[in-house]
Amino acid sequence: MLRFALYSGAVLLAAGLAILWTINHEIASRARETVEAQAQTVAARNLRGHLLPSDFKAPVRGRRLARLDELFRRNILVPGVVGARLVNRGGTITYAARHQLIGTKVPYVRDLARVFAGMPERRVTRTVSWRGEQNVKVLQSLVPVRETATTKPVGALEFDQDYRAIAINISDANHRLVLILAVAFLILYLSLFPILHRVTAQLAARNRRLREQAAERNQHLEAERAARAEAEAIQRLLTEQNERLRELDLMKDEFVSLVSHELRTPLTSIRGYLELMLEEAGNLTPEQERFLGVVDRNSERLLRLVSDLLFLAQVDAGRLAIEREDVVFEEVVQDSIEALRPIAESRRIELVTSIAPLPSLLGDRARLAQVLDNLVSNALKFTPEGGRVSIALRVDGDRSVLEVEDNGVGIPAAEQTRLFERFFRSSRATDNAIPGTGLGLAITKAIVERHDGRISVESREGVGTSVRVELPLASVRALVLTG
Amino acid sequence: MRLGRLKLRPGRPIRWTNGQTTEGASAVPPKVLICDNEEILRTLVRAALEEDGYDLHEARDGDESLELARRLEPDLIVLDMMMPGRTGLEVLTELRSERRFAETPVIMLTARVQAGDRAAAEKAGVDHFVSKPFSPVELGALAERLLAAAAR
Repeated sequence: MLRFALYSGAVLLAAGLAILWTINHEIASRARETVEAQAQTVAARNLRGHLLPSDFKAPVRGRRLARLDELFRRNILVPGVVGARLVNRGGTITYAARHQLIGTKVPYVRDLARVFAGMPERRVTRTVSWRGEQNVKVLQSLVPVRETATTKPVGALEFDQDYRAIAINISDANHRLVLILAVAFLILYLSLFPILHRVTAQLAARNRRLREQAAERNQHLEAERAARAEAEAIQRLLTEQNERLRELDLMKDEFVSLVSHELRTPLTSIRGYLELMLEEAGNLTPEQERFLGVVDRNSERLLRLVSDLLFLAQVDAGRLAIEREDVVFEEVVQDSIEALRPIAESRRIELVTSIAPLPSLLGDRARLAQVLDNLVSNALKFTPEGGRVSIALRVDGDRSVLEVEDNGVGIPAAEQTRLFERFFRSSRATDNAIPGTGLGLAITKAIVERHDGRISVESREGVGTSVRVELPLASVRALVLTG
Repeated sequence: MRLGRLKLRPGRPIRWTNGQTTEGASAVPPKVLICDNEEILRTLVRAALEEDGYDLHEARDGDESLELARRLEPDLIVLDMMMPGRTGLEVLTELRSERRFAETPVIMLTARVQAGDRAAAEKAGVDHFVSKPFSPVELGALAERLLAAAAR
């Protein structure tokens, strides 16, 4: 605001001064010309008819001098004219109001030549004393004097005007002009200032806005760049992690394969030789036979544990291979029940079956048999002697529904949500020393889900447990297989 | 041992007992090549088969398996899938590329449960899979069945 005011004021001031100087110059020039023209007119009119050619021939003396003094005093030396002289073509002053100059030569011969060529001359110079004043500034004019209008000049009239008269005029004009200009510029400035200010304020505001926008844009760009850099970094990190995970996955596969081989090979020997020994049971004492039976059962348990762990490792790796074949599920259920019937009978548990004919379903027969074995043997394990296990199979819409129900010990409510966790064992199992690894239901669930099925458990302590497995039927949808 | 297991069938009432011939039997017992890098398993397989009087040979790795198979031209090969050097699968692929082994029955022993292994082995020309651990009794029965089928 202040800067703008100072700047615009300075510009206006400079413009004013320039205009003032130009006008001043012009005024001075015109004033001089006017004064000179006046003087010449006066001189020419007053002297015409009074000057003689002889007045230029030689310095004037005697009576003629007195007459010219009279003539000049009356007609030429009006107020403002401080001196007058006649100069002949030779440059000699033939008459001067101040008599001591008569007969001297003028110093300005070159100017004089131009005057005789027809061009009046004027110049500002300083002269001798005038009525007691020294070194008076005068405007000196040289005018050619002719006998007739067409002849060559016989000489020149020179007269000096007091420059102060002109200067005063000029000065008066100047003062008025300065005042007018000052007022004019002030009014102009005052009237223009609000407009200029508004315009510049608008410009400034727009500039500020543009700068802000540019800054904002820069910020956006910066943020975008940063975001892009971050995204790239994350992408890189993810790629690296993926790579590592893939390597880990491969390592896991190799590990699983290795463990599978390394654990199964010794178990193969143990169970193989054991079988050969038990084949010839006649050579063994009853106690030896009993011991070998313990080895047999425990090696089988170990083998089952290894198989279960490997199975779950495959599930984790997403490589659980499932055959796709038409399975008659009711046969799988029947076979499983028949296989387990001896155990049920040995514990006097009643097996109740209710099996409806089903359309075939698409799946892995061996895996589904595993599901049935797990569920039915679980039910048998947790049912006390003399109890009852019922197995029901039916169709419900596009699904087969299998229910395995017992009237055994049941599962405490708090433990029911953890049933499908690996290695989780119900307190009922541990309290009653019922053998198991805690992997059976995890595996069962994995198989059921691999067949796009659902498994759920309902149980009440002391009343019994019911496990329900739903599997989609083959006619409805085909299995989507991976691995 | 296990004398009761063997079934004598008409047309093939044969029992080989370590090169000794019994009445009506062929003088030459079938040659069986057992390929496994684990000695204890070779012994187990031998124990499962020797009651039947076969001419048993053992190879400790893939290269030896190939060499012995080419030299002996066995009637049955029991091949372990995982062996150092050449795997059982590679040995089998190599053998099946030779005309004389195109029909030789092969039992593949495997401890691997990995998906795709079975499919790869079947493609290579395995007749029977026996997964470890196996029952020696059942292995013996299987060997007998395969040899009988091949001899027919």
